[in-house]
Order: sequence, then structure tokens, then C-alpha cells
Amino acid sequence: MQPVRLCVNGVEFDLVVHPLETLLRTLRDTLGFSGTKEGCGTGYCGACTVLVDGDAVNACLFLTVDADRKELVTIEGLAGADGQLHPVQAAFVENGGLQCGYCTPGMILSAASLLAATPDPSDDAIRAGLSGNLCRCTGYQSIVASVHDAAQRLRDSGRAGERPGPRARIRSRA
Amino acid sequence: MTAHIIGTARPRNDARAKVTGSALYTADVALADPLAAVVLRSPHAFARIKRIDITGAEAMPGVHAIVYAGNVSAKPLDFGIKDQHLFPIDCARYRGEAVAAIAAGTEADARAAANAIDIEYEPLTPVTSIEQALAPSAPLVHPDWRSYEHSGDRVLRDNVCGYNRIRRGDVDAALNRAARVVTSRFQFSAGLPGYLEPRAAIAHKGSDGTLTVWCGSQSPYSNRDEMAEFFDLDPAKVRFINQFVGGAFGGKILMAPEWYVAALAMRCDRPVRMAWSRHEDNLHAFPRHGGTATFTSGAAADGTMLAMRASFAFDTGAYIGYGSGAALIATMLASAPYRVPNVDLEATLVYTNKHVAGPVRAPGGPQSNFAKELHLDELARALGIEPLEFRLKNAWQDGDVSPAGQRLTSVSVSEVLRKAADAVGWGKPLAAGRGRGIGATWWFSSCGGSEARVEVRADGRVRVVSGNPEIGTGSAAQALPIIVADALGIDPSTVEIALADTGDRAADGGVHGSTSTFSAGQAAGAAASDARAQLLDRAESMLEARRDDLEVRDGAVFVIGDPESKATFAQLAAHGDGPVVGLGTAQEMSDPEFDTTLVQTHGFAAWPAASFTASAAEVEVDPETGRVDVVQLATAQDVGFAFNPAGVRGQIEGGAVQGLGWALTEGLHYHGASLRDPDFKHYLLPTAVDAPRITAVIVECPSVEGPRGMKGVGEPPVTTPAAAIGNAIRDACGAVPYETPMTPERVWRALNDDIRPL
Amino acid sequence: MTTASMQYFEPNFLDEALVVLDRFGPRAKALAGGTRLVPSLREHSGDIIALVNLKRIASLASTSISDGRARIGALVTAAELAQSPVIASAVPLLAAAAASMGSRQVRQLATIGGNICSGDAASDLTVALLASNAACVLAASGHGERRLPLRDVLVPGGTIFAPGELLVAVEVPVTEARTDYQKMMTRRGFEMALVAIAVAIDRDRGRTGPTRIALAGAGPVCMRATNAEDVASTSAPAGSGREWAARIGAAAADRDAMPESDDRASTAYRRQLVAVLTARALVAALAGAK
Repeated sequence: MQPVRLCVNGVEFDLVVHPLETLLRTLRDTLGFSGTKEGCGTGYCGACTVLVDGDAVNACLFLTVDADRKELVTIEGLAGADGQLHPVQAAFVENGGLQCGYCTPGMILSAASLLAATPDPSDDAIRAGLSGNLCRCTGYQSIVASVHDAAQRLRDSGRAGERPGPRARIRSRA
Repeated sequence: MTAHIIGTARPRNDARAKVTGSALYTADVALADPLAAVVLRSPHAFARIKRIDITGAEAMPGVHAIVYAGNVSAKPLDFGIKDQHLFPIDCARYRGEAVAAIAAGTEADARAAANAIDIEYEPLTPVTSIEQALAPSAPLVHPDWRSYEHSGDRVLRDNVCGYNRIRRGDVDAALNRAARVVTSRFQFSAGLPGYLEPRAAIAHKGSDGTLTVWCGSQSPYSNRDEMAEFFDLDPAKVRFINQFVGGAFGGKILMAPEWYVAALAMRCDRPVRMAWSRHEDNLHAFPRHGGTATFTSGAAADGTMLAMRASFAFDTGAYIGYGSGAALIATMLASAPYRVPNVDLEATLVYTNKHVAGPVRAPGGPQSNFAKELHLDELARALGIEPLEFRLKNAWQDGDVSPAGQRLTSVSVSEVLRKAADAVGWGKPLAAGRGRGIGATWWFSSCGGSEARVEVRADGRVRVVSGNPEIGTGSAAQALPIIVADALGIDPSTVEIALADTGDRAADGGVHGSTSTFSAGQAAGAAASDARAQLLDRAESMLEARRDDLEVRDGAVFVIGDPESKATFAQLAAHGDGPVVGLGTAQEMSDPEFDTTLVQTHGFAAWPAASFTASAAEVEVDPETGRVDVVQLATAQDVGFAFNPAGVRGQIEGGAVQGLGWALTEGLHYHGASLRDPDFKHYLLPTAVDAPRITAVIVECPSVEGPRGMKGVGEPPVTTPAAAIGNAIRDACGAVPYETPMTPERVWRALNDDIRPL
Repeated sequence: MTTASMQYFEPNFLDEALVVLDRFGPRAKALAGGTRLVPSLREHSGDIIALVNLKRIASLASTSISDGRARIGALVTAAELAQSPVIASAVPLLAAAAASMGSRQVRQLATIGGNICSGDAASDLTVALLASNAACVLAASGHGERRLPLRDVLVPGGTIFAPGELLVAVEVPVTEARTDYQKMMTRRGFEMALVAIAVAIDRDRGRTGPTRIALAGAGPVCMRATNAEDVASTSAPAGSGREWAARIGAAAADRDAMPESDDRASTAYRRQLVAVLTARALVAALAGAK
């Protein structure tokens, strides 16, 4: 067993984990961040996408020991502390970018990281950037529209290029 | 005011929960101290079970219960033929079939116990294809089929478990008169529903004998009844609590993990939880039917269709599952929506040792339309008639008669064909390597009955309670709030929704058959009208005004012309005896009349509130690699009346890409009877890069039967894209594979037919 | 998971890692990006007795250029290769292959070392490196480094590296070659290649020089198309080079590719893709596309 310190959505957790435990298991089963979904467990659907130091990764392929001392953002940490939706979340709500909602947490985090790197992406760049996130309900068209709208909202609010997730860090919880 | 609520695009009432991660799906439900349950699956496609001994496994550490054929009810499950038990008794009939389930303190303990169950199999020769199943001396998937009980008028023999036929006129004579006759043969692959949420279920038997099941069902009320019947329980003592459902597409109509956790929970004093991996979910999936079709049709030189003979064979797998529905629907689509005076349309349903096929979104629809529309294009080409013109010439019109003799009303075939074609620039010049194609269909609406309650609570908030599950379509989370808000003059986003829970006693037929908004919407509308009437009653006495002088808007009842004189919903809820609860129901809809002499063993030969849909596609084909780029895809769908246009567009766009996936990349591959692709690495759902620009055209040609003329929405959009894409491929490059998925290799082979097939 | 007896190591320095790998031999697993290892652990972790997580070894994650060679650490990810200005200018073929690989999320994790060691016959990075004349830098406890040409190390599903030996870096000569990368999949997004082709045409005093062609998905391992390269080197393109390229593509398909039919594609189709994509890659490279 291996000690790790994870900073999830601005809160630090000190845990002891099996070295082969995936971040998906730790987030869902140990820490209760059930917004991170398991769709395939092999990296092919993107439903478990979370941000590690700002980069979108598949939590099902990521060992928790590799997240030691890193900053993680799950879907629960994207909205502001006051409950104000992140512009990407708001855009998905307003543009019908979701139906069943199961791919949505991963899709939104993937889109947020894409927009942090590419503040004004083309249609093609959005589609290519989201090719690791499967959606079976929407046909993607409303998702692409949502991401364009989110890019506009981020630019309008002066947040273009901003790394998604909480700024403040709260000291450890066991 | 209210005129602007119905028919306008609005966000879903569950959107906030879904974008923040707070929406709970079954695997997210945290109950205290659950047991972990796993399934033991047969490693053989077909094997006699000679012995199962659980005594060693039962004694292993942490094990609480093991269920298998030896200790659960031997009552057969009933899908028209009673050919299946909860666990197989004599033979395991497909690789991955559940033979036992185990509950233990941890999943590792449960797996260890599963591995310790002592089973002796005697492998048998499996039936792995339709051709093999129908061969004279084929092994029998169900050697005892003669002893099975079944309902209705059925054709059963050896590996055949269903057959239906629609016959009208004299096909042979008409073909002899035809200027051109063509014959085309097709093959289609089985396809997964492809929902992103693998199945999960939790069950708990309370000390009072009640059984509670937490799940993501498409049909919690009928599932509850089925389960109560199986375990000999009073249905009132079984409660299904639906969670948010991460997509279903017909794949979550038949129970699966629900059965196993319930059977285990009956023997445990703690909740029993089962959550499948994608691998396990694919092994146990109920896929769209694979099969074959042969079409022969003839037309006069001017393009008038004279006759069609169509014959389908569907592989329904190890048990009948939902095979009957797919086969019935396929024959209903085979010549539609076109005037063909002489038809002979039949479908045969075949057992094999494969997955049990299920009612995947529009069962039989994509298959039948793909074959029929590609075949019709072949005929149009043989006649030298432009494909759209050919279809318009033969398209059903108001008053036409279906093959089974149903008189058709509210027919919009020509309109949807023209609108889909226009949306992709039909007739305009095309770049080199590009082509366009089109296909059309008809479909049904259904209403199996639904009940709803609209509650106006003490704080003035409005809540709609329906048994209609929210599986992603937005029927419960978007359409019902719009309908209720319209009746009560409030903002739809303030209407609280409830996820289906049989404890609410608001029965609903479930999500299937394009029924949800059609039936639950009627019930909710009626309940909201009832609530409105109660509010007005109370306002009459509170405001001392006559009803004609009152209006309902903005969460209050106003005296018209006097904005100061009003009673809020909260005040009205407090005034009078108890809360305001409006009740509404939707009655089951009866089928239209048809000519029974024209059909044989056909249980679905006339369709209420028939709808019409066409898709058109523009594709680019790279002839050297066979790569197909779908440049744009348009679907024009007649929904009669769009209560929830954003939801309709979502159904059309999503259906378009599901249809595209089945057309181009999706297909279950078997090695013999073993599934090659129990994962998303090999089973290729379309990604955002694969999805084209989609134009959704909403056509509103009101039905006689539906609320405000509505027609069912959910299924048709998945049935026409493969047909349009296939025809576009042929238009682009002169060849098309008559086989799905139309992978690049198959397109390349179609273009180079000297190359030996695989 | 039967992993109770597994030992886990997170060495900070390469020497420590090599000692552990040496001690446990074939039953030690080195962990890099994990895209392949992690999903397989769930089913097959029992035979691993030592897991060596390389993530803390900073020297494995760096890229440098000296003496006309780019040295790319084994832990450099596909995302880094696709985004790095250094790689884009020094080994653009590798940048193009990396950008085409997997999904954004997977590129974030997948490493160049892991790609090579997987021995995947359809590996984007391996095929691009083959056409770039890359060498593997191997280290083993007590033995220092040794270099092997990449083309000599690949075997189906793996490499010839000895137990205890670790791939620490890849070295690629920096050239002025004109390159191109072509790839075909069944789906358009996020899938293993059916066939992928990497070509590099050296510049020789303004004329076409030696040409390297590498094939993925055309046999049991990624391979150099030596017969096609011979045709290329003994002839010269005229005009757009289409005819020349088609001839070389045909040679690659007929004389180099050794594809076998599998669930994803038949022998005949893979040969067709080799011919077509090789020709296209050569034409694009000549046109200076990349």
C-alpha cells in the first residue's frame, strides 16, 4: 500500500492506496466523487475524464499513485463555490448539449481543457478534441454548439485560457 | 403567455444536476453496507450442464448467497414463447449466459466463490448462423421446443421460432407484367444499443417482506409486475425506484442485473449491489437483430411500382427475446411508404447460439429500410428514373391503403421526402467523388396507458409525478414540465420532476414504441388541467370572483383586469381541504382496422397515429480506400405536433448518428459463436469526428389520434440514415455493399467486385 | 486482483529502477503511461511480482538535441511530441504521427517508450520512428547504455530487449528530409490504424535522395519497406511524382507488406491501403506538405 496526497477540487486528501488502484476507483469509491462515470474502463469512452494538473485524462487508465501531489478537478469542482455554473456547464445547459447525462461530466471537463488550450476552436478542432468522449444520445451537434457558446462565454467574461477548477486550496482532510 | 411555452425550445429541468455531477445513476446510489454481487457466465456457446455444485463455493469466506437453477423458481420467463429460465436448467445456450449469481462481502470474495462453483459442462456443437440454423440436419438450439408453452398463433419448427407474412394481390402475375424486375440480397449485422452507462442494480428485502429494487429501467412498472409474479410476491410489496438512466435505446427494457440482485436479496438481509463492467455489459447485451433480406420488385416503364416480394430472416439468438417485434415491424416497413399493389412480405425468426437480440431503438427498422431503399434505388436505376422522382411517384398519399389494408390518414410522405432532399441540396451540382441518397419510412405511435399527478405544494411549487422513466430523451425532464407549465401558466424550469418510482403509484407503460411524450404527456396534461381547475375553484371562493373573470399566470390566479386582486399558488394550496393534486390518465390506444385476410401470424399489422420520416445524405467516397465521409445528413420527420422542439431535434440528431454508426462502423463480430468485441475498442460507436453536420427538419402534419395531433418521435430517426447513406455511396461511386456495416473495406470491395470476398 | 504479494517501487533515479528490474527479471513490469498496462492489470496482475513506476525519474522525461540527434526520453508523451516546437522542427514526422494518435486524453498518458515496447503492429509512433532511422537507447544495471537500431528490436507484440533492460530514450537523427504521415482507420476518430505509412525523403543537393518508408498494420510488426525503398532510391520522380510514387507504393504492397487477415481487415485490403497510402505519402512529401 502506498501513501498519496491528492488535491481534489481544491481540497487535499491524504490516503493510502493499493499501487494498482485506478484514480477512477479512488475518486468514486473512496472519496465519493460519483460524478466521475465509468463507461468502458479501457480509455475508449471518456466518461471518466478528469483534469490532472489541468490536463484531461481517463481516470480509468490513471493510477492513483500517479496523481500523488497533483491537482485534480472532477465535475463536482467545476462550478464556483457559490454554485455559479462554469461557463462550459452553462453553455451545455442552454444549448441542449446533453440528454442522458452520463457522458456529460467527462465531456464538459474535456471541453473545458480543450478551451483552456484553444480559446476559439473551429468546428473541426472541437470535434477532434472531443473524439475521446463518446456520446450516444445527442449526435454531437448540440455539444459542438455548446462548446462554441462556452468559448464565447469564456472570452466575454475575460476567462479565455483560464485553467478550469478552484483557485483556493483547503488543507488536508484525512 | 402560455402560447409561448409549448412548442418552444427550452433547457431540460435535469440539466443542472447533470452538468454538475449531482445526478445519481444506479451505480452512484450509496446504501449502507451493501453486499457485492457478480454473475458466473457460461464459457461455452452451447453446452449441456451436467452438474452444478455450489456447496464448496457457499462455504467460502464472505459469501452470503448463491443462486442458480437449482435453488430459484423454475418458472419460465415469457416473451411469447416460454423458452427461457432465470438460469438455464439443462443447457447453456450462448457464451456469456448467466448460470449463477453470487453475493459476498466484497467483489473479490464473490468472484472467488464464482470460480469455486463446481460445474461440469458437456460442450455441444453450436449453431452460429442463420444459414446453419435453417439447414436440414442442423443441431437444435432448443431440442425440446415442442414442449414450450407459447401465446398466440405461431409458426414453430426446429430452429425457427417465429414467422409472419403479409400478402396482397398476385405478385407473380404483376412481376410478369413489369418492364423491369430486380432482385437484391442483403445482410445486416447485429448492433449494440451502445448506451454509455453499463447496467447496474441494487435490491434489498426489508424485514417486512417488501422487495426494493434500485435500477435504471425503461419500464419499471411492467418490470415490477414481472418480478412480483416470478417470486410470487404481491406487486404492492415490490418497489422499483428508477434512477437517472445513462442511455438505454431499448437495451434496458428486458431486465438483467435486476433479476440477479433480486434473487440474491431474497436470501440476504443486506442490500445486494451489482454493477457491470463494459465487458460484462456487452456480453449480456440485447443487440439489434442481425439477419438477411432478399427483395424482388417490378415496376412499369413509367416507374409505377407493380409488385414486391421481400423475405427477411433474423437471428434472434439463444432465446426469442424481442425477436417477434423486430420481425413484425420489418415486414410492415418492407414496401412502405410506397404504393405497391401486389406484395408478399415475410420474416422468419431463427434461434442461434448467440446473444439474445432485443428491442433496440426501432427494432427491425434500420434493417428493413436499408434493404428496401437500396433495392428501390437499384430498381429506379434499372428504369432510368431519378431516385427522388421515383419515390415521389409511388409515395403514399392521404387515403391510400397499407399492405395490410389499413386506411392511411395524415400522410406526409412526399413532404418529408422533399424536405429532406432540399436540405442536402438535392439536384444541385456535386463535386467529384460525391453523391446523394435518400430513403423514407413510416412508423407508429403507441400509448400503453399512463397516469400522472400534478401537485401544487404549500410553498406554491409545482411538481409533476409520472411513472415515465427519464432515460435521456427528455420526456420526463423536458416535455412533461413544458406541458404542465403551459396548463398552469408558469415557467417550465420551475416545475419539479420526479424519477419513476413504483412507490408513487403513477403507472406508466415505460419508454418504448415512441410512446413517452405521447402517453405520459397526455396524462400530465390532463393532471395539470385538473390541478388548474382545482386552483380556479379555490380562487373563486378566495377572490370572490366568477371563473370567467379569472386567469392563471405567473404562479397565481388573477382577477382579469385587476392585477392587485390575486391569489398565489401557495395561498391557494393553503386554502381549502388539503393540497392541490391534479390527476390525469392517458388511455390505451386501440389499433386501427386492417384486413385480417391479408396477414398470417402477424400481431402488429396496423399502426395508430402513423408518422413519416425521410433522411437524405451527401457523402464523399475515396474509391482507392473505400473511405466514406458523410458530408451532411438531413432528416425530415413528421411528428404531428412538436410539444418540445428542442427535444425533437435532439432525438433526430442523436438518431441520425446512431443510424450512421450502424450503417458504417457498428457490427458485432463473432468468431463462431464467441463475441470478438465486448469492448469499445473494437465495437466502433461514432465519435464527434464521425458525426456529420445534421439538419433536423420538423414537419407537423397532425394525426387524428394524438394529443394536439402529435405522433411518436423517438424511434423513426434511427431507421433511415443507413438507407440514405447507402444510396449516396452508390451515387458517388457507382457501387455499394449490400451489407452493414458498410466499412471502408466493404465499399472498396463493392467497387472492385473481382476481389474475392472475405 | 491477486496482487497481495506484488512489490511496488517508485524509484527517483534510473540506477534504482535498473537494480529492481534486474533483481526481478521477467516478472517485473516497468510502468510508463499505463494506457495498456492499467486495463490489463485487472485481469492479469497475478503474474507480476514487482511493479516499477518510472514516473519520478526526471531524466526519462526530457528531450534534448545535440550533435544532430534528438534524444527523446522514454516517458515523453504523445501530447508532448505533438505540441513540442522542438519536435515539430527536428522530427516533424514524429509530431504528425503523435498528433494523429488516440484521443486527447490518451495522448496525455501514452509515452514513446511504451509505444515501442508494446510491439504493436499498428503503432503510430513506432512507424514514424522507423522512417526516421531512430535508435533505442537501452540501459541495464551495471552495463551502462547500449544502442540498437529500432528496426532491429521489434518482434510481434514486443521487443527483443533483455529482462532487466530498460528503454530509456529514443535517438533520432535530425535531417532536412521531407516527410509525410498517412493513416487509415475504419472509423474517422480515435481508433488504432488499419494501416499507417510514414515516409521520409532525404534532400540530396536539391535532388531527391535516399527514401525511407515504414509500414504499420502491414505485417506482424511495424516494418521498413526495404524493397520499395530500393525502387525509390534507384529512380527519380518526374513532375508531381505520382507515377513514381505509385510504382513505389505497389512495390511496398507486393514485396514488403506481409499482412494477414484479421477481424479488422483482410490481407488484400491491407495491401491495397499500403499501395495507396504509400503513394500518397510520397507525393505529399515531395510537395513539401510536411
